[in-house]
Amino acid sequence: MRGGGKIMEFLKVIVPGKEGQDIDVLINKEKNGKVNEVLMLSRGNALVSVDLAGAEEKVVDLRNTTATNPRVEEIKA
Amino acid sequence: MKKRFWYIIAAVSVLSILYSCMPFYNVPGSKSASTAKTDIAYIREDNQALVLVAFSGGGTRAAAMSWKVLETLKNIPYTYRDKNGAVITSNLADEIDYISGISGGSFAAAAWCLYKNDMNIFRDRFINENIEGDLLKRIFLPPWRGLRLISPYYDRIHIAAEFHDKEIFDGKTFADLPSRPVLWIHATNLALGTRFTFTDKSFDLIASDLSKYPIGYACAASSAFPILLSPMTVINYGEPISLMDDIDYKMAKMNAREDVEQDHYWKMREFFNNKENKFIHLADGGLIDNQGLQSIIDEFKTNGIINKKLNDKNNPLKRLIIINVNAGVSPDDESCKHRKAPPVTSVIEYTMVTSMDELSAKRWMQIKELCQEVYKAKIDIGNTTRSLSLLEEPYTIEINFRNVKKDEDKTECYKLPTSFYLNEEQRALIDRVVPDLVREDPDMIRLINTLEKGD
Repeated sequence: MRGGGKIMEFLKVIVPGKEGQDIDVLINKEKNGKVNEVLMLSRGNALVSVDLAGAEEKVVDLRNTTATNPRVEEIKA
Repeated sequence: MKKRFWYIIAAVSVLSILYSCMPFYNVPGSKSASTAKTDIAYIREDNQALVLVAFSGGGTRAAAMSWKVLETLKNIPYTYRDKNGAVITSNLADEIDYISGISGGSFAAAAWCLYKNDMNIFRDRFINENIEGDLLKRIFLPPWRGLRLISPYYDRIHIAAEFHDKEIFDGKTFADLPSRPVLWIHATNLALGTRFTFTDKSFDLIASDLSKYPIGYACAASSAFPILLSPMTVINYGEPISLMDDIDYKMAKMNAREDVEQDHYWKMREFFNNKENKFIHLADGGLIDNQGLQSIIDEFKTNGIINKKLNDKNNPLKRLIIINVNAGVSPDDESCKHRKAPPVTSVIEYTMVTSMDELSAKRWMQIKELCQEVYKAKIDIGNTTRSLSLLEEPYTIEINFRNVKKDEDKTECYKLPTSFYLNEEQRALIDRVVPDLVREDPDMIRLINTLEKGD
């Protein structure tokens, strides 16, 4: 258990050059939400990528985000 | 020569007795071979709702309370539209997607999955039955059964497990469960002091096949209260692997400093990955989480079931309903009326129950805070984020004897024993107070109003 307080963080994943496409986001290698949408995740590190062959993988440390000011990550694919 | 013959006969007899005293253990296997359904992806007709229910421990009191809650939920109509727009009439009990049980509550949770269409089965076999008396009888009758206890491997828990398996659950295993609701039975891994849930995921970590594991044994493990019952042992068949290839392990280790559950996870992985840890000894799930609420908190976290539903823009979640059935009681404390300090047994009870209740209360508050965090996000960005666009304020419903309105009834409820036997009067009391506890919870009133409006 955490010591109370805010748990949820917010992330938006963008794939440059593929803005209009409905691509799955991969969080820790599991499908969880879509690109260009604000996603809710728990605080801390997450391995972020997208479900496209050869897509980049990034460890992102999520903290101090809000729904209206999410962390935005670009993933090259 | 004659003497030697009798020695051989005696040795063979002892070996035969010891062999017959070997209890049932989990069998090796993998998820791919398994037909168990505890981790099946969330599939249902009303894709816009997610209903999770947690039954606490508390012996037959918890089982009877949970069962009456289910009977009450069965009488609350639940209507929704299917994918083709047709109106489907159901009830709230049949809409449960995940059902979690600890100790006494685990029996009701499992029974709901197996016998929901004939609720008298569980009432007759468990709630109305003197399980404690039946178990004692089984130790001594027939006499040879008690002799099995001389084996170092066969213990009191196995008598209980065999009884639950045969008399309560008809020998059914996890392969006999329906795909929905998903059942979570929790026990405590004594070596680590962490939760062990009977799911494919946990059994995969010990390279064992959950589908062949009897549900009665899982309930016995979940209710193996220390000292009263011995722990239940499961075998770890796993071979060591390179954990650094496992993304969940790696991320858990990175996040361990700020999340206790992540810290538990990587330690558990290393524990199971160590070939020397061949036997996992499981005790009452209530030792670390007497209401099974941590498993629900974990589903809010990254890649949990609730988390994925909240991020699903193709099937946006409309209704998140969490029902916490807490069979905790607060008997009058007589010790403060006497100068003499309470006896050791009472001190042990205070130590265990106080910390369990304190943790459970905090976990329930955390679930409510998480629901508020989620709903605040909907208010902030729901108009631009499709996955949150339909979300109603989540419903957190708590069924607790504390909320009994009539003082005399509340006093009597608080006196209900934590045992595997309730008399007729005690059962009638539970049946009388629980329907009001369900229907008078503020979030249940809000939910029923919403359902009646047909929203």
